[in-house]
Amino acid sequence: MGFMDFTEKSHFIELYAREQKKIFLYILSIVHRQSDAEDLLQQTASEMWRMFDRFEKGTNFASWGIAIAKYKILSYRKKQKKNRLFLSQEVYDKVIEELQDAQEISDSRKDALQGCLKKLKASDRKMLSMHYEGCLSYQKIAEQLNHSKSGIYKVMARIHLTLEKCINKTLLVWGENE
Amino acid sequence: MNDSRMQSDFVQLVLLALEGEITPEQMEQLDHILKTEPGMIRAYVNLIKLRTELSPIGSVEISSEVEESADYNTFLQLLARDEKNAPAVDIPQGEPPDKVPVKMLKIEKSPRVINKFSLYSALISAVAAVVFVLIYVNFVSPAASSVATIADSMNAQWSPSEYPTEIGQRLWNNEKTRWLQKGTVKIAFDYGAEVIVEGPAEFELVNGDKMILHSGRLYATAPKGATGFTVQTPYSTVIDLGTEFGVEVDFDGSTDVHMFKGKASLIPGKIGDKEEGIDLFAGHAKSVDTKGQVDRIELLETRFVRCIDSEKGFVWRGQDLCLTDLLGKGNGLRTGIPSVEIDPVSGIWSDRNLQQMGRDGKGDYRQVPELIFVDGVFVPNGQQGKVQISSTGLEFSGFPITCNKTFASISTDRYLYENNNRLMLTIDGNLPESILLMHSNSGITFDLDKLRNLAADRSVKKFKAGYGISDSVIDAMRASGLRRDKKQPSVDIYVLIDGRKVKEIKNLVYREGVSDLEINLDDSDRFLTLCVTDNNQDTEYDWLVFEDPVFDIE
Repeated sequence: MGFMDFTEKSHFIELYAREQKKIFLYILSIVHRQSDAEDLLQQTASEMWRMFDRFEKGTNFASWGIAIAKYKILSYRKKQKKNRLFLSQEVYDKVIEELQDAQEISDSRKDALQGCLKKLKASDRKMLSMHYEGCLSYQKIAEQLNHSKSGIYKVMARIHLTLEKCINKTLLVWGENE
Repeated sequence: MNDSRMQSDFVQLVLLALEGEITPEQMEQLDHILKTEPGMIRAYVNLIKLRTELSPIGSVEISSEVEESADYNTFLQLLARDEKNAPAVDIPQGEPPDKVPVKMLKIEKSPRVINKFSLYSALISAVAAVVFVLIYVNFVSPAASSVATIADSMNAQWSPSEYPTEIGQRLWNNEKTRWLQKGTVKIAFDYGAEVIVEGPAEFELVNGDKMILHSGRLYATAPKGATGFTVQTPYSTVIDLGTEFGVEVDFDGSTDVHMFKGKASLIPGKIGDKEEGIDLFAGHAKSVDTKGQVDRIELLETRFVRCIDSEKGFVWRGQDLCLTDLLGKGNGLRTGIPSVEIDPVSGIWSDRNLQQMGRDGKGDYRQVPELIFVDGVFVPNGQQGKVQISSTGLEFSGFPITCNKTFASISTDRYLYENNNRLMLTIDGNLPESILLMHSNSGITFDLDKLRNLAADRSVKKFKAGYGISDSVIDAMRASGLRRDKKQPSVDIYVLIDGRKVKEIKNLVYREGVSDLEINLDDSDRFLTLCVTDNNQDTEYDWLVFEDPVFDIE
């Protein structure tokens, strides 16, 4: 393999590693089923690599990736047509507008989140860890903790709201409110 | 209902959607909230951001060493207390939303898909590590490494003979050019691509996703993860972009590239020549001569060995599978016995003329133990009501009432024996390459799962055949003094998939020409049934012939 191939691959990986969060955020906002969004991100990444020779260097890599993701989502939605598990187009249009207007996931927000996680009660952090790091479903968490699944959903909703409140306050203090 | 309860309910709805456990009714509730309540779109987007950050892609650290050693009982106690005393939580979004009646959430059970994200993130890291290693290696002499495995081999003869030939053997990239004298070998590269090399061929392995073909023929399959697989020839380079393609290098180094699926980039010229790549798409073929001149050529569908399975003795070049060959215990590629018969009354298979005359159907379904992919045979008669058409008990109730007699076996013989005369079966004046005779009243069911297994698990996409009443009936009738205006053979044809009628041809009479039958098949289809019934309670001269019946696989 020539040196130019290495450069091309490492360039793609560098760009993708930097921008994949934005692309995933877009996909998850529209698809909202996490497992399906992860699959679609994989498909999008494969397509982006396949078409990388068509990417104009210096232009917005994330926007280009999102444009490709849109087609993947369209195809996905056609297959899921029989389900009624989609929001209305009116809502999706507003979500896309909000994604464009709102600040991207900045380093500040990530730092704020990291700080807020440390402020959570141990039990709350444990619950998040079981789900996000241990990849346990709410059902599995409920079984392990001998709780009802609806109870787990309530607790997780509270934890997420707590975190969101904390992040907003932190960013306000830092002068970077969204 | 207080605001914190509504906010909690809203977040729970979003979490349900993210977990894939939301019901259609709950989705409507969520949609209503997002449509009508100010600030909730932003709240939704922020939740999605939070979710993204907490996921492996966000790479925040959630747990600490303290939690790792946390006592579970203590944790449970804290959890129970928290759930009971959960304080109200505000989201500073401006004006609180108006009260929206959110119904009690009903959590439905739903299986969770294994999170592939950790794997994917690990893959990205691994690829980055690989890139680093490759860059590092570029500045030092590359050490030898094993880069591929012999995945399968059929009648392979190598030279010199000390080269590894066993299935499962690892292949290294520091060996001189390999020379496959004959046979075929399937090589699985470490980065995912698979190549079938057909001897005689001379080639080298460079690394986990590159090889050099000095002469001979190969077929490459590169799945999505193996994009970038490269085949270099004396005067060109082919870089896969998610595809299947064949490459043939002549003794002078000129190269033909045939694209069967996807897309590749063809760079003419030797290494170091700074030529631009040419996109090559499925359905096209190009040749590159020794001067780097690129010309369009005809795509040759069956030029390359595309699939081998040494256990099944299967070597596939993209051809259709011949049904008559399969009935002759072949693998569809002309390996079977050419003339065989199956009696629809008894299910007996024979490679000799069974010399069956008119017999009554017994109203049952008979399996054919001699043939793996033939599920069974039967004599159709609608008078029974439901007629069994598969060994699993599938039934069809749409057959007409017949005379319940059948004459002659289901046969792939080109000859029919009529009143001690041996008549060659022609159709529209032609002698087809292969023929399936189904006299009324007879039916045969094929097991497509067994066929897929026979064909190394490839997809069976279509059944195709020409059909018509053999024009040999004219000779036969003339020989027995029958006039055509006094006797008109006519049949009905039924094609079923899993007991569902997909084609019905009523009152087919002898006429000039051959009609085409094409039945699309899905990977989920199991049984294909062909059935011929008498149209008028009379089976005389109902010589229905399928011309060149094949299964189209991919």
